[in-house]
Amino acid sequence: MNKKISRRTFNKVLTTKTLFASGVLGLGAGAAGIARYNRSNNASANQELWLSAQGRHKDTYSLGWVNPNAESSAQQLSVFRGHGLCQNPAKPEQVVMFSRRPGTHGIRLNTESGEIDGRFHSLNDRYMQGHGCYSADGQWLYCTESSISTGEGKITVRDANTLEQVTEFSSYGIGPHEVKLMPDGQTLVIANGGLLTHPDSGRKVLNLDTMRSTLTYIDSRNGELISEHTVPEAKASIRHIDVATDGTVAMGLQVQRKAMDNDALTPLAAIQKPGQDIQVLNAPKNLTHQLHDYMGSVAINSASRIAAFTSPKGDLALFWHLDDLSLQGYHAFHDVCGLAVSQDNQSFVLSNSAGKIRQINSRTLQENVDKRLAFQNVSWDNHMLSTRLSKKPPVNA
Amino acid sequence: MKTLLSLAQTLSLLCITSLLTACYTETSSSSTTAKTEIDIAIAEIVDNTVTPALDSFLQETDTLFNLTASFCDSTTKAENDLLALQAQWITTNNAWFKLSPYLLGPLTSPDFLTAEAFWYIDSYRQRGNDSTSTVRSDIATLLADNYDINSAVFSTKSFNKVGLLALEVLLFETSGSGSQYQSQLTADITSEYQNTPRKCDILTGQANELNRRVAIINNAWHKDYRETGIGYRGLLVNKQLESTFTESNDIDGTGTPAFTRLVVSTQQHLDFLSKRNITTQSAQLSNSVWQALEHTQTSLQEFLAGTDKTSLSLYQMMDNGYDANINTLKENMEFFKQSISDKNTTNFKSFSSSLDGNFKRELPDALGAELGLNFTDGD
Repeated sequence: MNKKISRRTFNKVLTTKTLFASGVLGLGAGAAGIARYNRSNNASANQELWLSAQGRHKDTYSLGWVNPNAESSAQQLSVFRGHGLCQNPAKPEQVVMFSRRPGTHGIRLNTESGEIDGRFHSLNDRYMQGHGCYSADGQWLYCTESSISTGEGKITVRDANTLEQVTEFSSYGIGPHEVKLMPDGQTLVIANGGLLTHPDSGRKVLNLDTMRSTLTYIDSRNGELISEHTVPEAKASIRHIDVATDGTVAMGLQVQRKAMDNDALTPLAAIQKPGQDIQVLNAPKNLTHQLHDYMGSVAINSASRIAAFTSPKGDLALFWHLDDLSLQGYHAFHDVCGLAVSQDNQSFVLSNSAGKIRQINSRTLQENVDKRLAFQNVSWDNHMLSTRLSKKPPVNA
Repeated sequence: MKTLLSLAQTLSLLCITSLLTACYTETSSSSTTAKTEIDIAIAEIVDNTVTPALDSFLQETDTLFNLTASFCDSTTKAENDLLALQAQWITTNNAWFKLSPYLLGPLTSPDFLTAEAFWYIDSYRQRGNDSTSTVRSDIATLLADNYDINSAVFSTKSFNKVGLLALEVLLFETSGSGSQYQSQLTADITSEYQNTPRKCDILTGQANELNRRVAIINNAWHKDYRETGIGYRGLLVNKQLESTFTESNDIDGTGTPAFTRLVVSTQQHLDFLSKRNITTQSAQLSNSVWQALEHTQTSLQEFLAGTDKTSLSLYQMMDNGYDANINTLKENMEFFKQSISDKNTTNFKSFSSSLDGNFKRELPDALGAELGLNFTDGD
C-alpha cells in the first residue's frame, strides 16, 4: 500500500535534502560494492554498462545490458515492454526502467547484483508515459504519467528507496513523455507531447485536431510552472529531450502527419538555449524526408557540443552542433533508435532492433567499425542508457 | 556471433552470456551461408519478378526511343505513326508501373542527399507533386530558343522536367504553356511535329535521356553497382551489401536484410498509392493510369504468389498456421484488383492503405520475419 505524504511535507523534505545534495553527490566512487556481475565479467570498479529495454514479445520483454569491454550482455525479464531508463546519481548501481505507454509498471535493477530489487505501479487513474528521472540527490524519482479520467499530464514523485508515490505535479500539458533534470539540480524540463490517449483505446491519438505540444520547465520542489514553450509546427509532438551541461535542451520531434493539411516537410530536431526561444535544426530536404516524420531518441555530448538524434523509420542517426546549429553529419544504420553517450564522452553509442550496436566518434562522427557488436535474438528498443558503477559528479559540476 | 539468451522464463533468473565469436558481424558474411527458405523466396522474387520488370522496362524504353527516332526521321510523320508512338509510351509506362514497387539499389540514391534515380523516370513518384505545368513551360522555352538541342540539354535538366511525364506531354498534346490551349487531337499533334522540327529534337532528346538513365540502372542492377564489379542483384540476394559498403555510411551499409528491403519498398509504394492522387494526376493525358495500375497489381500479386517459375512463394511459406493472415492479404489483394478494374479511386486508396498495413504486419508475422521494431508515434 502506498503511503501518502502531503505536498507540504514532501516539499519540506525535498528542500532539506536538496541543501545537502552537493555533499551527497560529491562522494567518491563506491567501489566496494562492485559485485558478482562485474567479477564474473572481469570488470573494473568503473565498469561501464549500456542498458536498454529489449525484446519483441511478451515472453521476451526484458531489461538488457551490455558490458562493452567484455563484449557480453545480460538481461532480466520484465514481463512488460520497457521504454526509458534512468540511473540514480546517489546509488549508481540502481537503474529504473519504465513501461512503454500506456503501461503501468516499472522496475529497478541493481546492476551490481543483476537482480531486480524493486517494482512499482501507477496508482489508480494513472498510467505511465515511458520516462522518468531522479532528483539530484537521488532521493526522488520523477515519472511521466497521465490521468486516465482527465487526460492531464502528471509528474508523479516516488520515494527512490521505497518506490512508493509520495505526490504528483501537473506537467502543464497533455501526454508528458520525457522528463529531465536541468543542471541547476532543481528544475525539471518536460516534453509534453500533446497527444491525448486512453488506455482503453491503446495508443490511438484522440486529439489530433487540438493537440498542443509544449516544453515546460517546472520547479521540482513544488511543482510550480516556470515557463512554457512551443515549436513552430503545431502538429509536431515534442517527444524526447536531453540536456547539455550548459542547460541547452535538445528535442526530438514526431510529426502527426494525419493532422496536417499539407505535406510540407517539417524539421524534427530542435534546441533551446537558456533564455532563448526554441530553434529548429535544419537538414537537407531529402534527409528530412527520409526520417518519415519520426525522431526516436536524442542525446547530447556536452564535451563535443554535438546533439545526436535517431530515426528508426529513416535508418539514420543525425548530428547537429549545438553552437552554430549546423548539421555535422549522419550515420545510416538499420532501425536505429537507442542512443547514448559513452562514459568517456568519446563515442555516441547506437543500438538497433537487430541486436546490433555501433559506436560513432563524438568528434569526427566517424564510426569505429572495429567496435561493432551484435547480439543474437536481441531487439534493442527505443532508448539506451550509458552508466558507470560509480557515483557521478553533481549534475551542476 | 554474440548472443544474449534468457536462461529461464522466470523473473528472477539472471542471464549472462559472453562473446562467442569475433566482434564484427554482418547480415551475412558471405554467399556460402546456408540459405533459409526466406532467402530462397527472396531470390525468386528478385529473379522472377523484379529483374524481369527491370529488363522489360529497359526494353520498352529502347523501343520508345527507336520509334521516336524513326518518327522524327520520317519526312511524312503520319498520324498512325504518332498513334504507334503513343501506344508505346503507354506500354513503357505500364512497364514502369510494374517495376515501381521495387525502388531498390540503383533506382534510388544511396546517400540520402542527392536526387533519387527514379525521380528522373517518374517525378510524380517523389512525393506526389504534379509537374505537368513545369514540363509544359520547359518545352515551350526550348521551342522558343534557337540553340542546338543535344543530349547534354536533357542530361542536366532537373528531374521534374524529364522522364515519362515529359514524353507524355510531348506525345499527347500540342505544346503551349500557361493558359495557352493545348490540343490533344492526333491530327494537331502530328501537324505540329511536321511543322516544328525543333519539337522532334526535343522528343528524341527526351526519349534518349530516359533510355540512357534506365540503361545505367539496368547495368548497375546486373553488372556493376557503385564500382564494385558486382550487380546489385547479386549483392542483395547474397547478403553482401553490408559487408561491401561497411564504411560508406549510406543506405547500402545499414545492415538492413534483403527481405526487409523488399517488403519495405513494396509497403512504401502502397503507402504512396494510398496517400497521393495517382489516379487523377498520373498518366492523365494518355488516359492510361488504370491500366498502368493493373501492372502494379500484377507485380504485387507475383510478389506474394510467385510466377510459374516460382518454387517457393511467400504465400506458400505463410501457409503454416497463418490462415487468417493469408486470407486477409488475399482478400485485400482481390479488393485492390477490383478497385482498379472498377476505376474507383476511393476504394483504390482504401485498399492500398489496407495492404500497406498488411505488408507491415500480417506478412512479416506469418513469415516469422522482422522488418524492425514497432516504433510508433508516441514512442
